[in-house]
Amino acid sequence: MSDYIEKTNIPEETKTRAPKTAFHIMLTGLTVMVLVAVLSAIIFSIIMLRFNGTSETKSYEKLDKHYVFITDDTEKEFWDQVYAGAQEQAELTNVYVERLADNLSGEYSTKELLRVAINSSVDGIIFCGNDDKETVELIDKAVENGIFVVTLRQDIDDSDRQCFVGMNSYDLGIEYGKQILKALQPRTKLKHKICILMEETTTESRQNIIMLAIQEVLSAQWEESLMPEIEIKKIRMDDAFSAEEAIRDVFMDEDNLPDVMVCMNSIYTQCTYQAAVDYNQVGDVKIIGYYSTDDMLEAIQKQIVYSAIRVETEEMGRSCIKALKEYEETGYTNSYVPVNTMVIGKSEAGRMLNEKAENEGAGN
Amino acid sequence: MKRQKTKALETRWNNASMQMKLTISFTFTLVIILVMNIFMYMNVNTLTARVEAVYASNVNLNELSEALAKVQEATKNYLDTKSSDALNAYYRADQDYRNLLSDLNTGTTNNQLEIMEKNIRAQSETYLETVYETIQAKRGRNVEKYKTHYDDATVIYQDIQNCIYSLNNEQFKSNSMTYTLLLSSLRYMEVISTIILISIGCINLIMIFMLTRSMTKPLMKLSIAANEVAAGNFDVEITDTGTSDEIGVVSKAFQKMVASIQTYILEIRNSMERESELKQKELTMTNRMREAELMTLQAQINPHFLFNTLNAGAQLAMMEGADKTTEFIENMADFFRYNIKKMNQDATIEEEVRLVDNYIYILNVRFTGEIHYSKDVDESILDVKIPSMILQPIVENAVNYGIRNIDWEGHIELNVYCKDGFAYISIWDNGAGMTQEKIYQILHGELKQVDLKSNSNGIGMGNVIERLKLYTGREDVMEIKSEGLGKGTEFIIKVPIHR
Repeated sequence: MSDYIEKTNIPEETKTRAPKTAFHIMLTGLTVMVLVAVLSAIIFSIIMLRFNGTSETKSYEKLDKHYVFITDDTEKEFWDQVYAGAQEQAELTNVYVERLADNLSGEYSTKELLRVAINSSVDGIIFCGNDDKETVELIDKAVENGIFVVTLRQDIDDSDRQCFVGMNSYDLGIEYGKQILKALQPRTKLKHKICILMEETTTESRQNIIMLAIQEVLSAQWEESLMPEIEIKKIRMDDAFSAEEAIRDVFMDEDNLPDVMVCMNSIYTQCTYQAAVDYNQVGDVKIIGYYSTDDMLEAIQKQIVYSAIRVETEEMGRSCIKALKEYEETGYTNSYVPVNTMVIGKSEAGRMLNEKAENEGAGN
Repeated sequence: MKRQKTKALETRWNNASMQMKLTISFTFTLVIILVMNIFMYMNVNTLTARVEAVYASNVNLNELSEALAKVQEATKNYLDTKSSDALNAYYRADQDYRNLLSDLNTGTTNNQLEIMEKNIRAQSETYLETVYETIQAKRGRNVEKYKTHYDDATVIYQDIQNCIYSLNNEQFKSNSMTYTLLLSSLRYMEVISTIILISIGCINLIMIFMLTRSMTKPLMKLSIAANEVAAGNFDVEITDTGTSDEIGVVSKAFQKMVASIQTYILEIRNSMERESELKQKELTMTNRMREAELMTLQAQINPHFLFNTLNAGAQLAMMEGADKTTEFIENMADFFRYNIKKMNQDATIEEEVRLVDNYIYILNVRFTGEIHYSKDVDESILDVKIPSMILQPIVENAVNYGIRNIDWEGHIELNVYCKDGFAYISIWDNGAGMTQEKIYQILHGELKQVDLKSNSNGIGMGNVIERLKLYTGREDVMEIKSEGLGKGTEFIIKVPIHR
């Protein structure tokens, strides 16, 4: 024992240190521990708060009205833009616009969606679909149930719908006619052939008005004998992928290849454009399309697509909400709200692409 | 103020016992760890409860779906059987479904899930109404109407089921996100709590280590000091621990103990020194005695024989009627007997004076009354103890060197008196006297023995003075006074009175 103690070296400094250290150690240790405890309690509370902030059911903003947005599932990009415009306007006017198809699993047709919307007692319906009997009945039922209905892009004027938002078919026809005229200058053939691709759901009246308008423009320029042969090709939209097949069929028949192809929607435009490239018919077949994406601008600039009609999509969405809101507030609204269209040719496409590039550059 | 409080706290801490200190430290740390644990446990528990609650909404939707199916089934049953049981079942199912519906949202908000709930609720109300109309039509036996209504109801039923399914899916997605977040939070908390526990544990460990070290350090110092003391070094210094705990008490006790031991050792050392001095004295005394005895033996070949012979002579003289001879021989016998008897023992002044009387008597017979001897003795101090054979050698010296060779009548006076607690014995002669140098030499033992021994009966002045000094423990035992040669000498012995 004594040996052990003799061998134990206590450093000089500790020997001379004040004898009160025990208390100070105790005090410091406790203080540090209490600090650590408090600090960790704060950290824990922060974590809990962070969790509470994200997980707890938020009290959502109460809105005045609930509208639904019903379209078919083709031309998604086009409808996305329209829906975005509608949402933008809805936010301003304290309205919730529900894109019903997005919230339902499984494939729902526009009619079925209309039924669900009616049974859900929504305040308003923005609808784009056929003008078949059942649809008309459903729209009438909705109106009967006090639900305001706005038809979009193509009108169902047999129904009791309050308002139609879209392009005037006659104006559209005139616009297409002008583009066809331009595309066929200078004339290379005695009898040109024009193919117009239309949706099968396009109402008869609309189809007639468009045709009438085109012919009006062409006949003003050419004599009867020089009038081109116009073929309307209706494409079923119910069957998936039918557009692409139908369009390829047109290109397969090389002898009867049209000189101009008019595409009434963006899907057809894309399919035609792709088919023209694939069948090496770029330049031979002039495509007059329907603008939706930026890819189209490049195609127009390269003249794969001759020109395109552009619709103010977001304006279209905004107009729907405005019309519904107006009807709700005043009890009446214009039964037709036109949407502006513009033609994008080679020069416009180039300018738009430049603008876009500049904007992106400025953004960066 | 705060400083004073801390000071007061520190004082209380220092005064607390070690047991109390350890108890306080451990209790505090334990309480902190315990509180932290409880806090973390509660938090984790809350989170876990939330995890459990996450999928409750899914469960509710499943219940809703089942209730709806029951309504449809009951309706179909009633249409099939028209039984009152089926009707009751329908009413029950209808009520159950309505109860569940009441939990669903009705208002328009900007939350998609709530909008879906609203849709389900509205469709359900339409459905229930249609079902009710169906039942009523069946009751009214309106076959066509109830079939149409039933078809409508079935379509709506399927729509609702699909809506519930879709909402369930959406909620599941949202819940999964919440669940993932919860899980990550839980894991995060686990890590943090582990870190906190470990760090508090470490601090605790360090604190306890330092605390116990601060407590055991004085003990170590104490043990080192004890070792030093054990090794014989009493000059160890122990710094005060400044506390009143057990270690402080032990330290103070140790300090006291070391101080006491030092005092004791000093005392023992002093007493040992004294003792050794005494022993030295005793040894010297014995040596001197032996020396005196040897001298006596040399001078008087066999005192016993002489003494017996003298006794025989005295008896003979007595028988012959020679009184003077008898007295002379008796005196001689007394003188020698004293020599034999008293050599190793202390004597009283009385005995010594008697010996001087004997001696003077013998000398006067020898030298036919040449020596005029007188004495004045204070009888109250006759029993004072002095070493034996002190006076006779001085008287002998006075006779031999004082009055032996003088032309005038020799006188010797013996005075014994008491003054200031001392017994004084003065032997005065009117003889040859002494120089101061000689007096100094005698008193300091520098005189050669030869000078003294001639004609003496053996014991020299040096021996006498030495023994007196040893006996009394004083230096001023003898004084020699002489006014110079031919003016006589006085020897004064000074002895403390111890009765």
